[in-house]
Amino acid sequence: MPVFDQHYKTYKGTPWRRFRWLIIMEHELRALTSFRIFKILVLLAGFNVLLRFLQILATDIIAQDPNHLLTPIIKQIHFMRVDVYLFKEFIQLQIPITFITILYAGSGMICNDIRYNLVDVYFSKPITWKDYVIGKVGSLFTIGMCFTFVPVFLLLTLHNFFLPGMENLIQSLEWLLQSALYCTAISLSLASVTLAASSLVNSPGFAAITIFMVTMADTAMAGIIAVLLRERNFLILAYGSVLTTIGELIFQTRHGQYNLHWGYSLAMVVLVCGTSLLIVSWKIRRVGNTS
Amino acid sequence: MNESNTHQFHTLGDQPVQGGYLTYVMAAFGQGLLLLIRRPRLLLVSGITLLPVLIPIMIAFFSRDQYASDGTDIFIQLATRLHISVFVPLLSLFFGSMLIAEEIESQTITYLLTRPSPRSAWVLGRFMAYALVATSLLWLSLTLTYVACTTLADLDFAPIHLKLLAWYAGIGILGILTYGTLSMYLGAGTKRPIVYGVLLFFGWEPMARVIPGIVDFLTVMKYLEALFPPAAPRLADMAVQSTLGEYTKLVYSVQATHALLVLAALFCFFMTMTVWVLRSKEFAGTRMAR
Amino acid sequence: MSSPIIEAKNLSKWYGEVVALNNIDIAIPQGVTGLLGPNGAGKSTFIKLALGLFSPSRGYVHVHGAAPRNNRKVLQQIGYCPEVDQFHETMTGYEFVYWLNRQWGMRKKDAIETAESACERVGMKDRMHDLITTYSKGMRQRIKLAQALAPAPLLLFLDEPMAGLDPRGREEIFGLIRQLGDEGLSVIVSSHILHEVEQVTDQVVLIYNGIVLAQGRVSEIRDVLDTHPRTIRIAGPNLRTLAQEIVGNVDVLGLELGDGHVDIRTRTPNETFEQLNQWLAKPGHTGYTLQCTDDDLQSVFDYLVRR
Repeated sequence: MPVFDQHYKTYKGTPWRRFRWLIIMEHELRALTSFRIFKILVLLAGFNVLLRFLQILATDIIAQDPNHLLTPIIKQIHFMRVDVYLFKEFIQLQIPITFITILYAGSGMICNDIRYNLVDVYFSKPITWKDYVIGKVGSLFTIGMCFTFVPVFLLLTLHNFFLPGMENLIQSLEWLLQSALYCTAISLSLASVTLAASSLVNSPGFAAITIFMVTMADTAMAGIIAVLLRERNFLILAYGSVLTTIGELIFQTRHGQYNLHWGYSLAMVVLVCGTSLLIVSWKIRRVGNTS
Repeated sequence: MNESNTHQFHTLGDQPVQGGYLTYVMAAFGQGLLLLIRRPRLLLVSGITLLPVLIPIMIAFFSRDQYASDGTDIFIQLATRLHISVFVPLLSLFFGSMLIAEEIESQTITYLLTRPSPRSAWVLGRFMAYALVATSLLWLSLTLTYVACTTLADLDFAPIHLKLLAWYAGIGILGILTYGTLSMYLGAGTKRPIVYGVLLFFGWEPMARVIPGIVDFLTVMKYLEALFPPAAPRLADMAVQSTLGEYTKLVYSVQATHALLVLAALFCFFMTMTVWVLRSKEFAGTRMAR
Repeated sequence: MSSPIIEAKNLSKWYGEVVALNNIDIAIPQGVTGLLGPNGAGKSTFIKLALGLFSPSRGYVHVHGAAPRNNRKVLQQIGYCPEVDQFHETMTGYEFVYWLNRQWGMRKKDAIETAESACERVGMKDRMHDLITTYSKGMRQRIKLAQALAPAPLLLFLDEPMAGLDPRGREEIFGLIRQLGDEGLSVIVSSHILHEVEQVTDQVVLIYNGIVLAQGRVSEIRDVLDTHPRTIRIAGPNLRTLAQEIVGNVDVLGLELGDGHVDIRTRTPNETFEQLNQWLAKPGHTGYTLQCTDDDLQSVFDYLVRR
């Protein structure tokens, strides 16, 4: 008598289309945007964008009139200038809200799939573990970029509309490239770490608090060690400091929080992203029993 | 089914005798404790909480600075800036917020809500289990950090130094209790206790401490800070760097007795609120968290 | 007649714009009662209202004459086996039942004894000290049942108790429910599979789309539906001849010849049954069987939904 396997069967056929991970990404983003708290977080993130928009608007308009009463005042106030610092600081101020949003969006992304046996369902479709991982990382990465890079792009576009000129355009393109690199480092590391925790812990709440706990403990410990040993280079142990330093390096603004070669900071980002993605891939392949 | 029972099964109307309020509290405590200590994640939290122990050891080995801080100073720095400022809110958030939220998330709360137990007894029992685990971890870390600091100069097991350890242990438990009730309330009353907890403890609290005026009175840490030993560093920076330049914040102090009263009031308030939420909210629906 | 153990009047429950129960009146007497309806009909909502887990949006539900929400006296008399397959997974089956006993208010000694005997009663004695994570679906179902039975309740709610059980497991649960009913316990069994409920009781409440379609004994419900024709099946030899004779002599609405049987549709089943019995008692009419095919719950339910 034949004995049949009652589980979902992994799809063995030839996948029929490219970019299958886009389906996973689309599904996740659609689900996420329907939550009210996500909309609230977007609104909170939009506050900083609005302030920067008003700043650019005021500065650009007044800068066009050298005889304006406020022109010398605006030139005196350094934080009103539209320069590389504005975009770097804008991105750095977006990090906490991006972190919380990615934590909210991603903490249940894998553990819920595992808990409700959805990984098998995914793999019974023409979707491979690579599509699954890329789709999940891609959706969180997209959220991260939407909170950081997209506003920079919009602000730079507006800046060029308000103050047109070739010199301004070339400068803006350079800032755009720098922002893209910085935002990628931030979004990719946040996305991969969140998904790694989600794949290792079976509850979304605990996945979120675990990441947060590790981040907070890591930052506080590195800070204390650096102060007590009077050695700033220990700050490289705090991932927040690594991201800040990477930002300073990319935007070539000033020295970072420690004096180590930039290669160390880059290695830390690569290490964190790589390890996290390896954990996610290992877990998904193990749960989905795919190769 | 097994028809021949070795034990006498209670028959209709022959229900076991119910104990008093304390029986219910102890039942919730016992169950809560079992659930907390059997989780593998306890190991992770223990590991993180014990990390400060390494710092004095690192200092003993790596510090070449002739003006390096002494053991007492390092212990005070670690206890203030790590144990009380970071680990107390973190442990509260980690254990406290999920104390009830996990039961709701996994839908096991229906078993508990269909028991004829007073809701307050259940909340109290569960909270006691959390407080025991969180306080044990914090005290263990504080004690081991203290022991590690004795390897450095000017700290030993003399009563005057041990008093310092006891002082911080006392502040630690007050923090665990106050932050814990707030976290537990967030877990019972909101769908995203972690998000709200993070925003409150690590967003609002540090921010409020640097905002001019008396906004910092709306934080728990303000009242814990009022209980710190005299040698402890201030958590709020007196000089605050802003985009408008640097300004010196005027800090209004709180008396230790007033701080204790406020902490006790906060504890009672959030405890009552949690019981009220459990009595009034409908938990039996599906609440799958993302 | 004794007062009902559960009584609901104008009971409504809605979640936002979704109406789960719509102005229902129910009076459930002692004994085993089946709560029937398809998925999403409102059965679980009714049970949760009766357990006090939900508050009614309108109307009321009383259990043993009192509102159940936050009422410890009512909860003391109730046992509940939920539909969801959720446990404290780090515990053993015994520990799970033991700690819920303690939450019920039992002292340690009672909780131990009761947990052991409840596990034994549901056939989990051998595996009760294993972790719940190692249990099969059927074992998990039994442990859920054990925790509900342990405090010896007067009223037991079983929400889809047969879900996930194999045929043998189902038979055992059927047997247990019948036994509990015989002992005088009131049991409310919810199910969307009508055949399951028929195994344990003929006392049913039919719920559909948040309203009560019918309540009472299956046969009583069937009698109410006198506007609907009823089908009687006769199996035996020479069916074509038999059919010709019946058409002329018996009060029939329609007749359908099948493979080895003939189905007769009638509005007067009792009279028709009588007539058919008399006819079959005549000499030469041997080897025939009579059966009322739509007397089961599925047929009743189909009729009511169509109506």
